[in-house]
Amino acid sequence: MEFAQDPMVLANAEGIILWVNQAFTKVTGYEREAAVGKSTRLLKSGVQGQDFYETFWNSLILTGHWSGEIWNRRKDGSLYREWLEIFPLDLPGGNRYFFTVFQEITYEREILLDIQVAGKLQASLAPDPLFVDKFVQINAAQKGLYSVTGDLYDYFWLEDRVLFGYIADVMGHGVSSAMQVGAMRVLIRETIHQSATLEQAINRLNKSAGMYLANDTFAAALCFIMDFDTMKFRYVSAGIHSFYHQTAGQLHKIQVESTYLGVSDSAEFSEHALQLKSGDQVLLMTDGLYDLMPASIELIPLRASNLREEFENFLGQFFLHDDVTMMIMELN
Amino acid sequence: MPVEIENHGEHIMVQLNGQMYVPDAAMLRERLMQLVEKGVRNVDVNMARLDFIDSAGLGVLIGIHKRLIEHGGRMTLSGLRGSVKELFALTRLDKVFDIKEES
Repeated sequence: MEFAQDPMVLANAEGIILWVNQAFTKVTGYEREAAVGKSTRLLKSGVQGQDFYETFWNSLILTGHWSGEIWNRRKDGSLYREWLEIFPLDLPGGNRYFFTVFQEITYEREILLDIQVAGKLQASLAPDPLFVDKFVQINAAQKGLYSVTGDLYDYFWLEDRVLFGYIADVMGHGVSSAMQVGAMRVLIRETIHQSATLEQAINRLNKSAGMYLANDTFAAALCFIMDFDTMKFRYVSAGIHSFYHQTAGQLHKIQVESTYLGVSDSAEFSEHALQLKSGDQVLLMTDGLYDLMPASIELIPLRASNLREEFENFLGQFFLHDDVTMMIMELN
Repeated sequence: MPVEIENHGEHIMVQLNGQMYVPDAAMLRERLMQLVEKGVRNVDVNMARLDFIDSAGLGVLIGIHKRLIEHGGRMTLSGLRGSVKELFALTRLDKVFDIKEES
């Protein structure tokens, strides 16, 4: 604890400081000798009002714990913001002490926290990873290198019995890719609704994607339309070159030649089709996963119901270099 | 060395060797981007000794190609063979890049 990265304070029930560690001195500027024997009010900034301290003490007395943000003042008079957690320590003999640990909220830490919030927001824009109805079960699993991801997936009904879906991967990862992912999601939705065919949509998407995939970035995608009347699975590849089709217990790897979105305005993307039947499964995944998978997809038992668990187990074996996404569609 | 770069002012020659994975790709990107920023406009990439490239490596080549086009430059690839050549066909990047067949 003496050398812990986060500042720590031990105080008695009256708030008199009994011990501080080295990190405390580093952040507050108070040497141990200057802090021990003083009240914890030593650090009081005056930013929080009386109400704050009333809530703070009530929580400590009632629940024995408090955590939250607080402004304090260093020895040199400067203010700093910290995330503080305080716990009581009851020792035999009835003596109560308070142990406090805090982390200064620096600009870098604030950014890190913001990225975590962005990751949650980003995940909330994707459809529910698990979808089950009388025609189909869909399950998607995704893992980003950071809190945000440069991969995306989506699916929605174009008509009563016609489902559109895709997985896509904006090259790179992290915040910059995540911003492009947001734009791509909207662009794909708009384009598919304004196009007569899937092929037309992807060719249009490639032309307009250039605006969002500036500089040295580009994207890979595999988009499909599943018609449950004809049981036809139509798909267009744009840089995701293979996917898996399981039928009657046999696994088939379907490979498609295609280039990426945003690389060349004159690139052409063509539509292909597969005739599916009840019980068939289609598994789509992004590059990050293909790079990990040396032609042995059999490692993952293909079931929509256990996808996420198997995905976690599978990924646990590797050190990830890229965001990874997998989506399975199982026809009922 | 998986990557060797010979600098001739506005024109550079890149030799890719052996197997190229994520860390080499990141290094290649860093070095080529710096050179493009400094004014390099023509990049020749020789892949005659390249046995394997993954999606990260392809990504770097596409990225540099896009940057060069923006600046009115060009990238030429040569010596593609084996699985690398197949990958360029699969990704149709053989239609995007200028590819010089080995004489």
